[in-house]
Amino acid sequence: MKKQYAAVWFVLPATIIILLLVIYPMVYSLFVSFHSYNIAISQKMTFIGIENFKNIFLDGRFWNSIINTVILVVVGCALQLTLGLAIALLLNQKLRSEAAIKVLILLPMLMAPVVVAQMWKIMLQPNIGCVNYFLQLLHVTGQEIEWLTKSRLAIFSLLLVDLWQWTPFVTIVTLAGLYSMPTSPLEAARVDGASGFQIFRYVSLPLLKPILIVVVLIRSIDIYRLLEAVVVMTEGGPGFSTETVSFYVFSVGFKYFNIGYAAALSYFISIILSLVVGFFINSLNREMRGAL
Amino acid sequence: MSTKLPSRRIKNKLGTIFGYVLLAIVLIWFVFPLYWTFATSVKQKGEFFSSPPLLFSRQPTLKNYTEVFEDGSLIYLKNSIIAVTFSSLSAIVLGSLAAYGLARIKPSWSKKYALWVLSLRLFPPIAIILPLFLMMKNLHLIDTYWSLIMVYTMFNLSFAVWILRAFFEDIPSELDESAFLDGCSHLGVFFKIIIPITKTGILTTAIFCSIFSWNEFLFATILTRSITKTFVVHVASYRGSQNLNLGAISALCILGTIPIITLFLLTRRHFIRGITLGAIKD
Amino acid sequence: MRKNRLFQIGIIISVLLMVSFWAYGQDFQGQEVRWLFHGSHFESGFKPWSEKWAAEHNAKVITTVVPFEDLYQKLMTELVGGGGDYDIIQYMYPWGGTVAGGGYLLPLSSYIDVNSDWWKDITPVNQKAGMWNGEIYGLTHDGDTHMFYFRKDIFENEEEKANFKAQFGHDLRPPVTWDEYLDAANFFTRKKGDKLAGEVLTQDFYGAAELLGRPNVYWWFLTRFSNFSVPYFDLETMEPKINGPEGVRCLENMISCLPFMPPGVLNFGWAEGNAAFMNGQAAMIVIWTDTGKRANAPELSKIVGKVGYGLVPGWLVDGKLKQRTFLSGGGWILGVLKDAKHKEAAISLIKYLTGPEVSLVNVTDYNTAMDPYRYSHIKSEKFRNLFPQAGEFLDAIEKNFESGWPELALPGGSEYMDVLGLYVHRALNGELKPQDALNAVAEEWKKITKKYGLEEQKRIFQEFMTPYLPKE
Repeated sequence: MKKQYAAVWFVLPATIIILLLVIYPMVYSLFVSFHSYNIAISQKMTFIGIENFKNIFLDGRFWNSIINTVILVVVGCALQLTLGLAIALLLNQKLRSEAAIKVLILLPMLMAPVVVAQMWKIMLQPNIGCVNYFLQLLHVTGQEIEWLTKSRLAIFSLLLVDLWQWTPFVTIVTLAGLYSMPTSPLEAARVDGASGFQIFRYVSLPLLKPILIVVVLIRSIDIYRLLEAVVVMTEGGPGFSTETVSFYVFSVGFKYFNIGYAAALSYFISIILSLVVGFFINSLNREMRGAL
Repeated sequence: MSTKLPSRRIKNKLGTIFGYVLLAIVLIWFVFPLYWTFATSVKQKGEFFSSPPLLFSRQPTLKNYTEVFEDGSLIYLKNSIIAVTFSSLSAIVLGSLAAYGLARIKPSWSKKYALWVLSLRLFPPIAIILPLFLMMKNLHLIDTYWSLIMVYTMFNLSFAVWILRAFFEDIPSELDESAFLDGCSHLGVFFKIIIPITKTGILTTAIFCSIFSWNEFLFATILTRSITKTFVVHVASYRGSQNLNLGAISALCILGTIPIITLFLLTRRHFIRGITLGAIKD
Repeated sequence: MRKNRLFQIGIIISVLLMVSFWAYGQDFQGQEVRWLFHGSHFESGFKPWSEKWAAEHNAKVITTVVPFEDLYQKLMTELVGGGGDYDIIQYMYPWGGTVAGGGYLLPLSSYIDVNSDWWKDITPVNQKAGMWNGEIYGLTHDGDTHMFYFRKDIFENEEEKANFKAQFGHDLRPPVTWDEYLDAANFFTRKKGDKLAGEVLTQDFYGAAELLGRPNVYWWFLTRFSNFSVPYFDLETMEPKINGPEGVRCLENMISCLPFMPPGVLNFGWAEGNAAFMNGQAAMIVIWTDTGKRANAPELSKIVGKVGYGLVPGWLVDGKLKQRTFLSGGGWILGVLKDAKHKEAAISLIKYLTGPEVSLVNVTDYNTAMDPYRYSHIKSEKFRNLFPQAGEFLDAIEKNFESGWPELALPGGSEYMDVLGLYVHRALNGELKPQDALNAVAEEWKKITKKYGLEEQKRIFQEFMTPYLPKE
């Protein structure tokens, strides 16, 4: 009992900061979400019950942003996972100047998303950008591709940028997983005469699975809140085609100043996220038990 | 200890060459955008829109850099450095105290608390930005370092507690037990034993916190205006009528990346461990 | 006696000194005037003058410059918590209903003599831009109206003229209607290597450039729509009239023109649109009046001396030309916040910046994006000699100010326009048919009107719209 008492003192300062800066805003947000509070009209707050939450279900623009976000999360995670894993396997052999290679590969994920978005925006520009130039040089296309202003392409460009920045994360974590893998199952498989691919498919991959689930979890959460690239590269356009959930909630809050509704939306998307995360953690638990 | 996979010897040279070609493609893919940004940042005004695009300037110039420095970039760099340094420091101080409480005293609620702290990180920042803004506004902290430092400390705390707890748990318990027998208090153990042993872990965590704060955009754009505007917000403000100022934009991109890369190179080895620890340790 | 005389002289001198000092300028010792505005293209005009003002008045000016896309957000977040962080804000005419109508701005009537030449020199439409409910809340520093620009050299080329006639069956001329604009845009869109006016193109060439990025796009819809003089809403019922046949015709024209604009045009803002035209990549552009001075500045433009001007095209309705220029944006205005810490200093600064002397330098300086809004600008010899045909150009601006079609300025003005822009953009992107897109706009507009109060909005709208309606 005395022991626990001491721990409280150590945890207290951090807890106070967190309570002040996270819990208080969240409680306030919850309070506001039951009110009509549009500061562009007036400073008055009127209680309207769950009206804001009801409106969410009728808000086509919000559901459109959910669809865009789901596309980004699912396709983004799948691509990043596949590529990241492939690159990890590529690096998982005796290589010259391995350290230098790792440093180079890590660079993108250290950079500010705003900076990355600006860089790619310049490169993807039609007429003056280098991406179209190289594609034309390689005879992939003769046209000026409008990366950021054609609806299906624009969301693909966001995917591309995210892929560039975050595949290294998948690679590095997977690589660490590969290094720390127990040797005996691999040896056993080799003795049984399994091919490289078979070893990967039936031995390494199952062993990596818990790590990969965590990686996917982290990436999903991050893509779910994707905002910077949208703000810098497309402003949500063309049409509504690159509006993500974060971007839409940001607009409702800081462009239309419909604070009550924005608060309700934030709660709603937080709930969706917790459900998804809960699902992942469940499956992770199952995996861990299976692995052990 | 590290078994390479596929572990059988690569059968023929063809395979090796193929591997290296793939590797080269991968490296080009990751490094080229950085190169291009750098190349753009040293181009002359007339060269940005040349068609076909120039791979490198015919007459490299630093004019774009001097231009962005004249535009106040130094101030924004300074702002970022201040916000990053103090928020990382306070996150580390508060976080390591909490982590000590959780990992070394091991109260029954240790794991639950750690999970709770981590779960705060999962909430979309967009969910709390508005109330935070109103709160800071009422406290007259908008456009001051305080608001940024507080918010970044909070965000980094959840991460710092989680990671430092993992580092602290690795220390064998005999060490502090013997210290307690010598009459050390918890604080004594914390400062004399735990901190010295986990120096590198703490440093790694600090670097992570710094990079997070340096790169953060949403809070910085809402909580600052002109006086404490951070560098990343400044980079983002090169939109609209500045869209075509490619030289300045790319110079800013390079300037904003250099500090992070420096930090990273200083602590490279621990850094990779830090990333993997965040993901692998449950 | 002598001593007394000396004393008297001393007093007179000191009074004179004091008076002259007063005339020279009030002293705002140590006051920090905080000021929010957007755009580097304004900063270049504001910065030297505000520094000069600060030096003369012992004050300090702290500016926050944000991109256009962020200005409304920064402005509104300031107003939410009661202000106090800025003294001066910049806003656009359509936001007046929210900013001035919301009671956030300081009434300026007691600081401005409306019978003075200083005030009367401002053209009426630009006086009105800063007013709300008959009270002055802000001073225009940038007058806005659209203007049509074209490449005189290629429109007057004989060979092109002949080819055009062969292809379209009528003579090539600077378009007077949007249908002619479409034909000309179509005709002049060429690939790299093709010939244009006898010269081989080293880059692709496009018929037209417009600013079709998401925040701007609605202006290029309204610049077509304004010609019809159809009010935004029915004056009696507040039913939106944007989705009538006129609106659809405009949007269909926009979509048809799209293939003849540079790639990426759906992301074009002020910088890209101007650049496309001034780098010689586009034959025509409809844009604000500052492009006139900029396109003739050798430092900025590759088409100096090749620029023709005209009124924005109109529409042929039953054989009659309907043409009415859109006062796009309605002007940028400087206002002082009600909660400003240094009101007197702020008012002094905005009056200084919008006064005839400083503003004349700014509107004639091609480094700024500021457009004329005072009679003294329009009459200025300096301006009239700035570039070829500047005189005609200024006369056209004056005419637009007298008869132009206004941007919608209601409470919630920016919300109405944002929705319009979004759905126009969706139609341009092929997500929606023109009629469906405009119907969606009408639905959203009804919701916004309801949100702000139907009766109140109707009253304000009637008052706002009536002076502009065609007198028949």
